[in-house]
Formats: sequence, structure tokens, C-alpha cells
Amino acid sequence: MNPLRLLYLRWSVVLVAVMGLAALTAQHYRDHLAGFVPQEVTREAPAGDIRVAGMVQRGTVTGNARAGHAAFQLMGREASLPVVYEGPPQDNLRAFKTLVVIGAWDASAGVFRAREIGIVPNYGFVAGAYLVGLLPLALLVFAMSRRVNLLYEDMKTSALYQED
Amino acid sequence: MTIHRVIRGVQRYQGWVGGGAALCLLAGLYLGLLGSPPDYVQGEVVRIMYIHVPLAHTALLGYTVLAGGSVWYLWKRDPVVDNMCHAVAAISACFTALATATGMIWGKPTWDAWWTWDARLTSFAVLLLILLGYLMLRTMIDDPDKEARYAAVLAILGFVDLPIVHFSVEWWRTLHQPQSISLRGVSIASGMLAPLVLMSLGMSLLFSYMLMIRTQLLYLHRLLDAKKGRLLSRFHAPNADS
Repeated sequence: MNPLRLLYLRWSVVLVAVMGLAALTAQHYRDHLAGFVPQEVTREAPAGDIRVAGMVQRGTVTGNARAGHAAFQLMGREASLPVVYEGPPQDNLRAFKTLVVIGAWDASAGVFRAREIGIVPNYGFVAGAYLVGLLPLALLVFAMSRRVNLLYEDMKTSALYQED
Repeated sequence: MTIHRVIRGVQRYQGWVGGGAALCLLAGLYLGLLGSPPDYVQGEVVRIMYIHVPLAHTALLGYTVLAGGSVWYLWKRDPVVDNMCHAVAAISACFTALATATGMIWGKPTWDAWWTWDARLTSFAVLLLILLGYLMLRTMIDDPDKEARYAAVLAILGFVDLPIVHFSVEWWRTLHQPQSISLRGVSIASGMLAPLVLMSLGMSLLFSYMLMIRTQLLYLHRLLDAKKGRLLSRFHAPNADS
């Protein structure tokens, strides 16, 4: 097979594998991306399990998060949300910490009942780092490999080669 | 060592090295993005480690190869080694720049700053400047012998920065975290170690593959230039008309 065609074939296989991996990753994290901010929860009162992102308001944390039960206010830009947490022991619950709380809105009590607390995932930074780290390398390797193949072809076919 | 033997060897093994790099990187990416746990404190952002640390390791490995090759060149004056050093410098500069860029992206959500004049960051930026200086020097001197000699001396002098980069997190109080893997032991969860090792291995293989390609590229350029020169000298020789 022509070396240049072989090169394109190999890179197509790599590209398909990378796209497959990207699709798997997007599928895996899709649920984590859907979320609410505090003012949306109080305004829309969504049913079922949801994720709410916000900052823990200073001076509102009561109970013992390390023992797995606490209450606090989660601040958004326009409103704050009263949260009651019952779940695994937590070290991350402190004032000004940006968190994601997972649970359901209890409209009758007017509180968000959280059973899980996580750190804001910042997927934009992760995706950005992988793109910045891998894309230039891939482009550089492809361009160099292609150039080498073209130069070999040039050497074989050009009059310069015949002269020697 | 003749360049023809080197090129034949490179052509024989480059496919295996490239294939190995692709497999290790794909497996490392799969484990790093999907198979490893989030960090207790940093959360998902810790996944940047699987790209940033291997890039930085490979950049340091590249400079070590460059410094070793430069010593070898000054001792033996082997043009093949000089050709390899020239190829290594450009690739190392690329890895150093990308490690710096990914580190900056990691710094923003964890330190709330894209850049800080921390000892590790500063010494690593100096490494990038040394590599760029090396590449500039190689374009500024016409005499190939002098070019290779001066570049080798610069690369050896620049090697002083490597221990500073490596030990900066121990010598000074820095924002940058200390090493997780050292002779003293491994302080990282096994679920995180596997993708880190795979990505580091993949990056090292990719570096080797790029070195093989770039060595051929520089060799082919020089060969074509030499052939063009010979052809032109034949046309312009005093007895060309006879």
C-alpha cells in the first residue's frame, strides 16, 4: 500500500478510537452536567432528584456534617436555599465553599433535603486541559509523519534523486 | 555510527513505538477519564493530573536526553548525535510548553490563579526559555560545526535548571504539591496510579516516536539540500559546458 495512504488509514483508526472515547466520556458525565441554581429551585419547585450548585453561606451551618447531619443555606446570585443534609460524613461543608447538593425539594417544609454533597466538577477546565495537551501534539505528529512520507516520495521521484 | 544505519533502525521500529504510544494513551485516557475516582478535596479537576504530569515528566526526560546527547557530541563530534539533539530540543520545547499550559489550567480552579511566581512554575518556565534559546541559537549560526558546538554547550549549561525544577518543591515552600511518587514511596491511590503510569508510559513512547520522525525529517531536509547543492554546483561548474 502507498505509505501516505497507510498513514491516513492509521490516523483514521486513532481518530475513530478517540471519538468513541469522547462519546463514552460525554455519556458518562451527562447526568452530572444537568443542574439547578438555588433561585431556580425556590421558583420552579422541580420534582424528583436534582443537583443544585451554590456557595455555603457564612454563619448558617448548624449540626455536625462530620457525623452526617447538618443544615445550612446555599447561596445563589439572587436567592439562597435552605438545605437539610442527611448522609455520609462530610469534611467539605464549610463557609464560602462552592458545592453541589444532590437530593429533592420538599415544598411542604420549604427545605431542600440533600442526601449527598459533592464538589463542583469544573468539567470545563478538565476538557480544556485535555484539548490543550493533546490536540497540538496530535496535529504536530500527523504533520511531521505526513511531511516525512512526502519527502521520501519526493526523494524517490525527483530528478535530484536520479542525478546521484 | 552512520546515519543510514540509524534511519534503517528508525524505519523498522517506528510503527511499533507509535502503536504502543497510541494504545497506552488510549488506555490511560479511558482509565483517567472514566475508570478512576474523583479526588476527595479537588473533585473531578484532579483528572487534569493524568495529562499534566505525564507531559511534564516527558519534558524533563527530553531535556535529560538533550543534555546527554550534547555531552556525547562534544566528546565524539558525531553529527548523527547532533541531528538527534536538534530533533529532541524542538520536541522537548513542545512538551514543556504544553505542560506549562495544562498546569495553568489546573491552577485556576485549585489555586484561583492562572499563574504564580512559585519556585516550580518559575524554574519550569526557565526550562522553556532555555529550550527556545537553544532552537534560536541553531538558526543564527551559519557554520554547522560551530552551530552544533555552541548549541551543545548551551544545552549542558541549561541542565543546571533540571535539579532545580525537580527539587524546588522540597527546597522551598511552594504552592505546587510535592512529588507523589518518589524513592521514599508512593502517596497516591492505586486507582489513580494506574492511569498516571499508563499516560506517562504513553507520553514517553510518543516522545520517542516523534523523535524518530523528526530525526528523519531533519536528515531528509539536509540530504535534499546537499543534493540540490551538488546539482547546482554541477550546473555552475567551470567545465559544465564542455
